[in-house]
Amino acid sequence: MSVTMSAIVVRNLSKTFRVAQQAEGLSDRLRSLVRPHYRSVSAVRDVSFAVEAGESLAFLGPNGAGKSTTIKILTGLLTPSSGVAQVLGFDPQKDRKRLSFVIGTAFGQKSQLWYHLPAIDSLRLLGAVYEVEPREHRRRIGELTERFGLGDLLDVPVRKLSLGQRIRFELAASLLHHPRLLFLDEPTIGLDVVVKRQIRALLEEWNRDHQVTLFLTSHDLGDVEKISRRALLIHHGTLILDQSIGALKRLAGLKKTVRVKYAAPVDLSGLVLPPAKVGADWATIEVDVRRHRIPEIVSSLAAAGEVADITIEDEPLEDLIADIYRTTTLEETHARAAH
Amino acid sequence: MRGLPIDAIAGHRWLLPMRKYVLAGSTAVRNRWAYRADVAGLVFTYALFVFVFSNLWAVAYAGKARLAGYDLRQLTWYFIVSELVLFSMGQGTFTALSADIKTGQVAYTLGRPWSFPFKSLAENVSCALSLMGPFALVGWLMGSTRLGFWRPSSALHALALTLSMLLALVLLFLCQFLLSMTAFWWEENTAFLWIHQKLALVSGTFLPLEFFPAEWRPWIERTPYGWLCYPPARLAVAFETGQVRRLLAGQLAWVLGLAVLASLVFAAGSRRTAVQGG
Repeated sequence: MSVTMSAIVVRNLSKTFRVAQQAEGLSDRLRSLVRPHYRSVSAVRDVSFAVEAGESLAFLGPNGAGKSTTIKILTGLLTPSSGVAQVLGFDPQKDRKRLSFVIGTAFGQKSQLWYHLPAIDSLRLLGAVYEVEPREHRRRIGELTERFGLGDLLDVPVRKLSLGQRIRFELAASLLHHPRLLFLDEPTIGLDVVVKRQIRALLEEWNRDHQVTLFLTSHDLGDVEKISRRALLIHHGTLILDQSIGALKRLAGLKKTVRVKYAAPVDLSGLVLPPAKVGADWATIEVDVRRHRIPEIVSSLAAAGEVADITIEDEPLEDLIADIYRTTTLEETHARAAH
Repeated sequence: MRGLPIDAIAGHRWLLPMRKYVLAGSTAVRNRWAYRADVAGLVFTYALFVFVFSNLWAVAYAGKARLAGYDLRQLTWYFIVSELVLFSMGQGTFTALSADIKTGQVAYTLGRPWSFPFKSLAENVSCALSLMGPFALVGWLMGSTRLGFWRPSSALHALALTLSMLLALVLLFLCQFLLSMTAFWWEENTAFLWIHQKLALVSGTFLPLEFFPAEWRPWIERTPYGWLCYPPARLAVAFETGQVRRLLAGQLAWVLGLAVLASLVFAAGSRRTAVQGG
């Protein structure tokens, strides 16, 4: 496969579920036993996107946005109501078994390891499941456990591993059959900062060195910034944003927060921009750089009194995305889809 | 890192698809035996059942040489063997699969390159076979102490008994597998297991089929319950070469029939994965 070939192609993908409606009143309930009423719920609406081989993509959205449904369609577990999905050249529904040999999955909240047994048992089983030749399989276990710093822990029952060690084993298990595409769902959930960094570095390295396409869903924007180079935002089942992480950061940079601390209480009534929060000797000002220049704001703050400390920060990516979720209504997303 | 015995297939790529089911079975067995105290508790419960019911039968036989063609010694050994099969399989298949379906965990298993029904069969029948050893030892010791030494009368007897036990385990697995699939449609499905357990206990485990009225027996034999524990227990205590073929063929027919049904129900149920736990 050439590196420019698409790993995932999705065109006008929709998935509608039929959900039985709860009847009210005894007669309606009895009638619904014979002839139940259903309503349609659109989990995914007319979604289209492509992911290049070797790309690292974040697939973001609030709970219930349609992320899991899309992933289940891409892994062949669900059949779309309409539209086309192609993963590594396979139709996920028709070629589910063949596709499963070349994709991997790692879910932070769903373990693939046998809880009471040493991790080596699960690694052996998974290698067998993916039909890796035994000698090659042993070599890969050695390679992965060494790279992931797990060599001494192979014979420790999974229940005795720390969460960080367990997640590293989960990742090693997902990579044993050398998948070309790895679906990651909240891979760092519950981990401390140090272990999160380790996991992100390992994923980044695997993506870079082995050209494995990463398809990440996470609510942790730290994961997204460190692992991914592009983000898709899905909301109410509709794709509302497709941007590079760099572009998102630039977007976040349009809104800056200036925090100032004065040496003594000051009068801030003459500032160019009124503070969002204010105290006797401090203020927080939110600046839209398209309307106001930062030097102008800083000069106005300095003119108000003796500055003890001042910081200027971009809007956190998390806030930017939360703003997009909050301000994009169901009607807007549907209008976007219709557009 | 040492290889496993199954790794001797290295170089025979055509055997690799089989290796996954062998390893699925052996991994499930190691997991089952990780808590030996749990296994010991099960063996104790089995011993208690054998003790209580063999005493009950002794009371029922007071003053009688035979009941429905069985003497006390035969009936006690019958119970030891039939319970051995039932205890070995337990209800783990139903409990684990139902839970996996209800929580949506099954979706993650379905995404792997294996047959879910075969993988479940390998795991559960391997576990049952591994548990059968201690149950059989305890049952044999209790029976031999109380009733006198027992062993198969011939190599054919031993072979027929082994085959019949294996088929009974597979049948029990298929029954539980099918019942657990109801979780795709019903959130609460334990009533199905309860009914199944009672039917299995009454028809052929606690009571041999000869105890039922003659007109009932054909009806029982039209259900899988006449072919679960009855054939191996009957072969153990009243081995007749003429019966071997009929009993084994009956079991095999039910295994094949239920296997086809299980595949169809599983295929229909797995299309609902997204509804349950999606």
